[in-house]
Amino acid sequence: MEGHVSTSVTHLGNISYRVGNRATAAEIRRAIGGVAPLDRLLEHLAAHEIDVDKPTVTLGQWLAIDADRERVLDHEKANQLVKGTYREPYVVPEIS
Amino acid sequence: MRRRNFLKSAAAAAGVLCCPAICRSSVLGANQAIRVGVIGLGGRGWGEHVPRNQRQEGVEVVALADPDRRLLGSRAEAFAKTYGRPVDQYDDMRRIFDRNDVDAISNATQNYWHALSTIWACQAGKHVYVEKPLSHYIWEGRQMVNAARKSVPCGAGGGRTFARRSWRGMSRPR
Repeated sequence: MEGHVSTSVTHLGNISYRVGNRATAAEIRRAIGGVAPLDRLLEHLAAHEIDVDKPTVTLGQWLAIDADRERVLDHEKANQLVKGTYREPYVVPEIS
Repeated sequence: MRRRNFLKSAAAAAGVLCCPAICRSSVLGANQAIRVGVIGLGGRGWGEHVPRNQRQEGVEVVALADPDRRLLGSRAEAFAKTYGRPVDQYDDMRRIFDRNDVDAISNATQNYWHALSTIWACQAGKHVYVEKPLSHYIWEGRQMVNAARKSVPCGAGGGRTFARRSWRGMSRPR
């Protein structure tokens, strides 16, 4: 179970990214504040002469979740990414 | 701790599920070897799962599966050379799950195959060690947990979800 939960955290980050939008460094700071990984990312991009004052980096969308039901709240597109699509007959069955 | 210390460290990988069929001690006697099938014979499967299972005392790899028959054949040949005995080959993993004499599945399939293969194995009553990431989607991870919980209940009823040092330390996820 813990494996599922910790894997879900990374999946959620991925979903947030996939429904996110390009933003400038200033916008990202406003959204998430000062965090070390962001500083490192910006530093890294600057070293490669990527202009982060333009909307270059994807800012993930803030997602509210229903942890018990393992669903994203009020975001249809994000919710669709919680579940995959499968090709018959290799369909993951729903198991209650 | 090395990140890729398969089966050696507690809680090393996110992608570990286990089903209960072992607690076979009651069925087979604790001295009998645990018989493992390895599914997925790429870099992880062949390079880590096979040798790390083989290295454990009381564990033997008895079957290999991969849909790429050429790869399967060459791995089986290398297995016989390395370990001095033949190993059963399957291009369809489900034929391993059908076997009653295989206790556990070491799952090194592609990430997007983790869920379905693990569920099939659980439904066949096998223990499963699955490579990380556990699932490709959140939803299917939940189905994996449910499948593991549903499979034959483990008499010992322990609470370890993550892999311990060996198959013998594993039990059903709660």
